Amino acid sequence: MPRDDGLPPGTLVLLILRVLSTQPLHGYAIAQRIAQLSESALSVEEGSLYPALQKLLLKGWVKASSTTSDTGRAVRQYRLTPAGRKQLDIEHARYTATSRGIALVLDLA
Amino acid sequence: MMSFIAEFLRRIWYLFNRQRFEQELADEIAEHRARMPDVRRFGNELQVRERSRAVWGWNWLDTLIGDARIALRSLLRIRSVTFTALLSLIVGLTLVASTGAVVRAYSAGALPYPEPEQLHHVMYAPPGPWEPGGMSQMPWASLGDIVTHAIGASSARRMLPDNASEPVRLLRVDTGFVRGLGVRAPVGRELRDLDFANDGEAVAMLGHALWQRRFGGDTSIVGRIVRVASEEGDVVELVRIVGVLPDGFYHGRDSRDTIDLLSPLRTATRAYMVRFAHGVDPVQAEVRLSAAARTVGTNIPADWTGIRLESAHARYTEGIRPVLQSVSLASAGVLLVVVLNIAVLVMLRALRKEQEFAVRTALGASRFRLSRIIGIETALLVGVACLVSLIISRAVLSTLAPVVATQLGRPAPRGVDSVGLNDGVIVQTLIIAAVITMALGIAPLLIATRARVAAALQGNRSSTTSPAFRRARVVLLVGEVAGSLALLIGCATMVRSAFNIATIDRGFDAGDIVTARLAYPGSVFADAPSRTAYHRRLTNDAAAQRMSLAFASWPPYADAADQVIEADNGATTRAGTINASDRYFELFHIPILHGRAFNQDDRIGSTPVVVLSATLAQRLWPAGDVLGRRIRMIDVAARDSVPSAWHTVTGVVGDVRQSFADNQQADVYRSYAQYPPDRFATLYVRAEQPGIDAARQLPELVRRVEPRVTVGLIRNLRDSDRESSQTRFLTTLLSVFAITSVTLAVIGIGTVTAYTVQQRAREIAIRQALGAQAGAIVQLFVLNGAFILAAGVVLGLLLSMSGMRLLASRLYGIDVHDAPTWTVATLSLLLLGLASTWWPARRASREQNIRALTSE
Repeated sequence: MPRDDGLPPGTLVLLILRVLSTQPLHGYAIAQRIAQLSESALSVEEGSLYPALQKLLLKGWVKASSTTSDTGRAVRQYRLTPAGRKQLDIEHARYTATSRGIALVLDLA
Repeated sequence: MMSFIAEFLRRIWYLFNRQRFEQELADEIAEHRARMPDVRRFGNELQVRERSRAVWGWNWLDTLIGDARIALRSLLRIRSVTFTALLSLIVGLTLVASTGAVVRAYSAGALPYPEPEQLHHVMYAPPGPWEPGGMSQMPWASLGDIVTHAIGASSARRMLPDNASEPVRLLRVDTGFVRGLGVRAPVGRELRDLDFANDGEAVAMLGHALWQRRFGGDTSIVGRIVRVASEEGDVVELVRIVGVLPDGFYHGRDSRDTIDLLSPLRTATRAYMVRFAHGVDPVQAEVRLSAAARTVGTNIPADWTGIRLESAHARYTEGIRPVLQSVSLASAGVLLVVVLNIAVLVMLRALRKEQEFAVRTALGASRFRLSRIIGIETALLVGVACLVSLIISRAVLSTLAPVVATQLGRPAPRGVDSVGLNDGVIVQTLIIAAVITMALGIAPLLIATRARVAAALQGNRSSTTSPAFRRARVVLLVGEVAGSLALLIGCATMVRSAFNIATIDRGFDAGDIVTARLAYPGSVFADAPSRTAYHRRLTNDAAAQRMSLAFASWPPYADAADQVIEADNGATTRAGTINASDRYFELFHIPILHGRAFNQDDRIGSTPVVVLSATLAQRLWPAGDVLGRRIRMIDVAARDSVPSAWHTVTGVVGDVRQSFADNQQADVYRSYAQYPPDRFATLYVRAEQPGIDAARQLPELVRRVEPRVTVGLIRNLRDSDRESSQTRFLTTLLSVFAITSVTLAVIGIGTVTAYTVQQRAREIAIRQALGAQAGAIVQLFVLNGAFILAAGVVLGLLLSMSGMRLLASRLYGIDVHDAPTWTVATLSLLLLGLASTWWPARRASREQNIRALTSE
């Protein structure tokens, strides 16, 4: 049974794009960064993270380059592409609109 | 759109770098797990990797490869059946691909003109009778609604004095030729309207072969002026070369008749071909053209039958068509037998695999998955067979293409090399293979989807041994037997016909005779006596070199032109007329029955003499007093023909069949010395001593006697015998087809019996235990096989009755429905079929089947 990661559905891609917009990161670091920035409110499930990263690669929103981690292992580091940056803006705007709508409904109710 | 393409390209990129990507992902996950304080929270690593891989969309490929592995293993498990099926398919597809390549090469589309189906030859009169005059004035403009182009040409021989002395073929053509046949110039330009003006410069297009041969393919020839001389060399014309004709462009009935020079014809000529507008009915066009011809025609014969049209393709393939049709039909028949045979084998395989299907179903494999595995299995089988057969066909065709052209008597319209494995043939074979795959997949699919787990696992009778499946098997086998019998009857009839042709006494012996054509430039021999003297000198010189040499106006293997013969007793008949030199009868071993052959006393000015064939002599003077009697000839093909002078009969010779179907054995031989040809002569030569190569020595012999005479078309006389060679060719092919299909049918029946015997082992054991004799058990199976054979034979005989009509034109001395041949073919198949049933049944009856009872 998948654990509860606290992520609203469809926001994983947005969060990955957002954390990669400041610096290139590898998979584990992305998960850590999201947890850290959300003050542990969100935790990315690994079962979703890696397929999501493959999707971003397929869409051309991120690029992977090989690098060596602190532990000496070869790992892939993901970097945002210009297309990814554009996508981030789109996803961000879409999320803002959605959450504003939800907030409005909740406030009125 | 762009992002879609980019995404697609990334998917492809991933496919080709899959291993690296997956390794990187594995490393990344390993790093992730190493850093996690509690690695158990990561979950199922394999599942994470699987889901990540799935994003790239290639999982179906993995499944497919997996299924292909299962299919391959399953094919290899029952090797004997797989191997037999594969071999049958390879044989069938190779036959179809090879014959398909030949048929396509001779198809209408292969003519090297645009929209060749619109081209029709115009025949102003049937061969023989004379044609109306004035046909060059046909009012083509008023026929514009049906004829878009009237095509006219006139051929002549010329010399290129600045180059080698070999004569070249000049074709003068009208504008209709250039436009109607779509003449194009790969180098330089085509002939234009201005070139046809009476005061225009003398221009010509150069034939591709001549351009390569004489000018080394040099493009700078365009614009240059070449000297073109008449054959005598007395008239020289300066001609500017404006372009080069496409490779293989020809004119006439044989693609070897290439054109060396194509120049504008500036006078009106009779059109020999027309290009129709779209949708024109040739029959109605004949009526319109005939009516138009009557308005301009002069000297129209009273019994003129009007203009006849023949499509350009039909004219090209005349005489070849029945061979091609028979071969196509036979190869389709073999393929059908092959497919039926494999269908039976595949069905048996599927039955044997019923348990496997049941296990897989029990383990959770969906019906769809099973169907896919079966589909892949069939596709693998057909695919491998298709690939192998294409490779074999390629090799076969590259070796046999020249043989096919020789056997059919004429190369394909686009040349000998066009009989090959081109794209069209490959696509056709692939389509056939795909259809076979689908057809073959049906039976196992039904079995897989109907497999009942429990019944199959318990080894009980299951759905697949139901009457429906047994009936299907019987129907397939009956079809196989029927197809094989039809092919066997066709083949046996052809073999007998070929035997008749081979053994028929033609009345002459063409063995080792070489024929050639001599061309006399006009200035070489001043008059007829000098030509005759030359013939004698050549004959004597050949004799000195131990070679017999003779001249004649008409070669064997072609029916000589008929003339009306009138005898001095008033009797008339028709007979072929041949001019023959002194040693003609000796050379061809035609026996002189009475009187003498021609000799040196027969010359221009002496009494005209003739030698008659025995049949003609008998017909004109039944009493037999022939020698010294006189005849005269009336040429039926010439207009205003008047009877010739009276000729005295000096001898009677044996009858000769010019072609094997020649029933007109009345022939008149005139003295070659009294009718010497003007420009060309055909000679025949045979070496009289072993070790002498007449074909090789002939050019030197001719050159030594008179260097200005050119010798060409040197070939073995037997090669002219097209009818026999076509028949032999067809017989050989049909034999291959028939043997293949009969072998397959016998294998099919044998395999099914063996399988049935195996299935019924328990029953046999019980019968044996109850005291049944071996004979009774054998009888059980043989009766079953006999039923299939009988049904197949009935169907096969019906098939033969309709199919054999195609062969009728190729048969000699045997009826299409020749009872003994049909009986022998049918009995042979029946015996072979019964033997193939009897063998496995007998083996089973001798074995101790008691084990079958104790096996459980």
